[in-house]
Amino acid sequence: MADPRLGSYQPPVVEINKPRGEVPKKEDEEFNLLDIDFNNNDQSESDVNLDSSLSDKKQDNPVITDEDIQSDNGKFGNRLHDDQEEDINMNQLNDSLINPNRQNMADMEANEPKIVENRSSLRYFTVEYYKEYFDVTTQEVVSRLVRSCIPLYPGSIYDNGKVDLYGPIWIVISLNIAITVFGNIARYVSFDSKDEDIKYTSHLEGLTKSVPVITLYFVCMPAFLNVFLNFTGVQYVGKITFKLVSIYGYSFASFIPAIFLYMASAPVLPHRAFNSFEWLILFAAGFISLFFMFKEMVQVLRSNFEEVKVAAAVVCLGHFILILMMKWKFLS
Amino acid sequence: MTDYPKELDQKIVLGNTNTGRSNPSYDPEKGRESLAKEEQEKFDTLTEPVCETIKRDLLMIWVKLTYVMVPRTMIKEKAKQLRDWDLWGPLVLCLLLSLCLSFSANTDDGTLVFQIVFIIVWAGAAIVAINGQLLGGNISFFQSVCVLGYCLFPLTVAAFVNMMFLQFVYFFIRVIVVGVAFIWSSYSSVGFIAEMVVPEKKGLAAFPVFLFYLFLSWFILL
Repeated sequence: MADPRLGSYQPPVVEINKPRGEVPKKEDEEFNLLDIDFNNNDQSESDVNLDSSLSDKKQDNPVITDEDIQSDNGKFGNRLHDDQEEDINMNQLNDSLINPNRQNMADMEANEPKIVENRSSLRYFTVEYYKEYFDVTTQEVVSRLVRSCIPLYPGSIYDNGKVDLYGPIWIVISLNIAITVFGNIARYVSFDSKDEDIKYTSHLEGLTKSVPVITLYFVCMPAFLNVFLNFTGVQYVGKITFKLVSIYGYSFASFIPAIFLYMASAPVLPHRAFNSFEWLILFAAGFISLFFMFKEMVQVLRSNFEEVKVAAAVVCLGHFILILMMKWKFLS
Repeated sequence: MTDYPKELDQKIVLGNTNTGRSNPSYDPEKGRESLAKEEQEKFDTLTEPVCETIKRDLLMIWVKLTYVMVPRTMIKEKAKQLRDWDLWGPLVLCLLLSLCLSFSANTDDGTLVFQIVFIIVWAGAAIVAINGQLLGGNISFFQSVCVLGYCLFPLTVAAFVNMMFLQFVYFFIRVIVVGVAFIWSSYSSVGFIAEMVVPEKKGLAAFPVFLFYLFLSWFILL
C-alpha cells in the first residue's frame, strides 16, 4: 500500500489477527497518540513490559491518504498568510492523523475476532498476579539490600528492570521482629535494679503496638504517594504502584542494622552516652533511608521538583515521626 | 466391638505403601479416599470405640513425626509421607508449645504469650507457604503448613524441658538447649522447603523459615 506520492514514507503493516496477549514492544511500529514522547525523555524501556494493561492496546496505524489532506484544505474559505497557512496545514496534518485512526480502528474492531477477556478485579487477589514481582534470585536480592543500605551507587537498584516485592515484605517483617527482639534484649541489659523485689519482666505489649504501626506505615505511605502523584499530574515512567512499595520497603533496610547496633551498644556504653548514641544511630539510619528513597524516586519521576515538594515533605515528616516513635515507644 | 485386622492397621498407618497385596489403583494423592471406599464393607469406623480411633490417629501422627524428624537420606520416602498432609500434628504441637510458653513466660500476662505464640505459628506458617508459592514453588499450600508444623517438634521439646527443669539454671545452658532445638528444626524443614524452588531461589525460600523458628526460639528464651 505504499503511495509513491508520499515520498519515502512507508505506512506500517496492519496485522489484524495479532493475538491480544502479546505485549507490544517498542521496536514495533506502533503509533499511539497518547504516548508521544515529545521531549524524548523516556530513555529506559524497563517498565513497559511490566504494565499488564499494555496488552489491551490495539494496533493504531496512521494511514495518510492524499484525499484527506486535500479535502481538509478545501474547507477554509479565506486566503491566509503563508505562515498561518503553514501552521494550519500542520494542524490539519495532525487532524488527518487522528481521523484516519478512528476510521481504521472502527474497521479493525469489526474485523478482529471478538476475544472476551475477563479482567475482573478479583485477579488482584490471586497468587498468579503477584508472581511477576517475585521473579528474583538470591544474588539479586542480596545485592539490592547491600546497595540500599549504602546508597552511594550509580544508577538504580532496579537496573535489571525487575521490580521485586520479596525484599520489601521480608524487610518489614524482619524490622518488626528486630524491634521486638532487640528492644527487649536492650531493655534487659540496661535494667539495673538495686532492689531485689523488682524483677525483670519482659515487655510484650510493645509488640502489639509496634507491629501494626510499622506495617500500616509501610502500606499507607506508598498508597498515599500513588494517589497524590496521580492527582497532581506528575509525570512518571510506566506503572509506579508497586515500584513505590518496593522503594519504600528497601528504604527500611537501613533501620535493621541501626537497631542491631542499638542493642549491641547497650551493655557497652554508660547510660548518658547511650541515650545520645541512640538518637544518633536512629537519625543516621533515617537520613540514609531518605537519601536512598529520593535517589530512586528521582529516576522514576520526570517533572519539576516544585510539584513534588509537598510529597517529599510528607515523606520526611513520616520518617521523622517513625524515628520518634521507635525511640520513645518501641525500644524503651 | 469389631477387632479390625492387622493388615488394615498397617495399611492405614503407613499410608498404604507397604502392604503385602498389590494395589494397582493406589494413588498417593488420594490415599485416604480410596482406602475408605475399599475398606468400608470390611469394617465401619462408626462402630468402633472412640479410643481405637484416637489411638489410630495418634499413631499416624507419631509415624509422620518420626519420618520428618529423624534425618533420613531418602527424600522420596519423606515426600510420599507428606503428600498425605494432615493438620492434627501441627495443631497438637502448637497447643503444647503455647501452653508451655504461657506457663513459663517471664511476664505478668501469660495469656498474651499464648495468644501471640498461637497466632504467630499459624500466620507464620501461612505466610511462609504463600511465599514459597509466589517464588514459583510446586508444593501445595497445606503441605508446606504441614511440614512447618511438624518441624516444631524440637522447639516444643525444648520449651517443655525449659519449663520443667531449667527455670533456675544458668541462662547459658538454656541458650544451648534452645539453640540445638532451633538448628534441628531449621535443618529438617529447610530440606523440604528448598527442594520445591529453583536452586537460585533457595536462599529466598529458606530465609523466612529461619526467621520463623528464630522468633519462636527467642520466645522460649524470654
